[in-house]
Amino acid sequence: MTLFDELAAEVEGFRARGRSLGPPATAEASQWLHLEARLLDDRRLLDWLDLCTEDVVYWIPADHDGGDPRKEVSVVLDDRCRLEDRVHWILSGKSHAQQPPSRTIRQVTNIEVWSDDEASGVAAGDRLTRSTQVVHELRDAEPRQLVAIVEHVWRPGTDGWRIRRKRIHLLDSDRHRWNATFVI
Amino acid sequence: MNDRRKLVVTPVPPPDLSTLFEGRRVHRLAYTDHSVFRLEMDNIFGGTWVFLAHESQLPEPNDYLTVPIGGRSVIVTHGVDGNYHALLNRCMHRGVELCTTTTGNAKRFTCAYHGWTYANDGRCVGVPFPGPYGSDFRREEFNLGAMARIDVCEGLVFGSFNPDVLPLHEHLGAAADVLRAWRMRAPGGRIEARANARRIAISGNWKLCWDNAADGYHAAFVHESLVSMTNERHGDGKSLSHFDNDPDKLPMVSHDFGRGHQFLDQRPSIADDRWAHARPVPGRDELVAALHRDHSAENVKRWLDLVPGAAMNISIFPNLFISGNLIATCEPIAPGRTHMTEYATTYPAVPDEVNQLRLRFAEDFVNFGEPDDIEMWERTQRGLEIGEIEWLEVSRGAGLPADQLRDGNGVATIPISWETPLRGYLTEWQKLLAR
Repeated sequence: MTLFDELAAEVEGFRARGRSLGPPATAEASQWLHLEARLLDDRRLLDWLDLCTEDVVYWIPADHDGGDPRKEVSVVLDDRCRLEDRVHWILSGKSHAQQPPSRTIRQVTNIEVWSDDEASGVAAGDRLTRSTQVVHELRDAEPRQLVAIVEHVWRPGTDGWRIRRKRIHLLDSDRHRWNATFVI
Repeated sequence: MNDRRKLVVTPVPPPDLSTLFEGRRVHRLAYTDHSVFRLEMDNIFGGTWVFLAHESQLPEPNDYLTVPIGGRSVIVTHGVDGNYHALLNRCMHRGVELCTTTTGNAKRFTCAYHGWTYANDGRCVGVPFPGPYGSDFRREEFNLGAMARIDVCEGLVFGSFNPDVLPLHEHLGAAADVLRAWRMRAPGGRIEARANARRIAISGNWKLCWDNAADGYHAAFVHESLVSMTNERHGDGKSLSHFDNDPDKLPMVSHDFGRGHQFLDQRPSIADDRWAHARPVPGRDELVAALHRDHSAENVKRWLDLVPGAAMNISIFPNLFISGNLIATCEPIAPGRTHMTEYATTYPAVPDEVNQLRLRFAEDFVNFGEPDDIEMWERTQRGLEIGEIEWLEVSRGAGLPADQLRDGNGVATIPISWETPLRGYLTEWQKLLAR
């Protein structure tokens, strides 16, 4: 299985989920989701990269149904290398599209968490979260909002959880959207 | 209290179109004025050939695609007779938008309001309970509005509302040869555009895409973020580094084909070893390894050099832009608002792994280059809202020998930084507006 085979299988796996785990697991997941949101809103992108694994994939499909990276172009599909490019590009101060830099405030709600199983296609021990996010961005005009279902695959380790996958299903994934260049 | 009945609106006279472009400068109202915009939608998007679709997007009989063309919704259909039709998406009865899906397969379109039905060649084939319309009612008088002309060049479907346009091949002129070279880069000359699209909303006029399309002057400034990030992370000699010199002394050139069509040909400045000079894309290691498992080293090298774009930026006035691995269209929404739809392309005659890499490459420049272009267009639009300063200067290279010289096909060949292609499309723009 290639990376893109895995990504396509994971989209299917998330769809088949049943009831999420109970309150203690949800509380733990919320802590990591809120930490991630804070790092991104504070523009601590290098710290956010530290929260990601070496095999992380940051993916924003261009299709409402989740998309198949083997057959479709994406809005964003970054492996670790391209994600580091992105953070470097944003923080360099040389990108006009990030001058002035985006200010963001994100709201993370409707958090559900599962542990992995056979059907999910993810590795043993991983945690899956699904949250609803509204990201407010302000640059040079009025505040604008991105609304999304965000699916994470987390890898718990000795020093906490790390992000293996972050898949962002934008409400308007298949529609024309403004020049948004921050990390969602 | 105001008496609403006494309010008087003083109409603002529309600008004199013949003075908006003066050869070396263009007036800001060309980008900001609503009456100019209205006329552009009627006389340009309604008056010349426009790009509609790639043939691969509607390969089977009865396939259709709805596309916005200068503010109109147009249903492009593939008829059972093999012909394409471009139908106005509006019921002839009371004006309801007929088709609300962007793509599909249908022999007929039935209006949801009163059931009027049309074949996919536009014929009105059903009017429920027609009796009360009277005995002289003829439903064939209610066929859908349709483009007068449809033609195909190198897999690209064009249409025109104007029955008197030049034949498509004459209209494209020498640009048709370049479109052929672009298609023939694909093994077997086969390109598909069925791999979804990137869609961007721009707070700027549609012509700002044109001002940028064959402009090699901006690259070193606007894309410094991409070039320096790439150099710092992946070493020199990749991505747009071939723009990083005096733009008038580079091997690559621009062409002005006439009738607004333009071509920035980067091929002379790009090494043959395209893959080695491309920015790294996700999935490369395992997909390249998989290719090497199943195919000869020679074939793999040949295919990998097809992963980065064709290095041919071909722009066909008014709404087609070919660049990288994308076929893009601009869709004007308002004077200061434009949508771009960028269809990703694949090559059906190469292994799947190569196309997966092509898709990843298609995501590259649009994430790290194009955002800075769009930022410039939006800043331009804001600058042009200032009424005190009226003109944009587009005179770079004007009157110099290469600017004046045309070959036997009417093509000018100029350094990439010259504004000859801008003056070329603006000349066509002005001609069409005065039609």
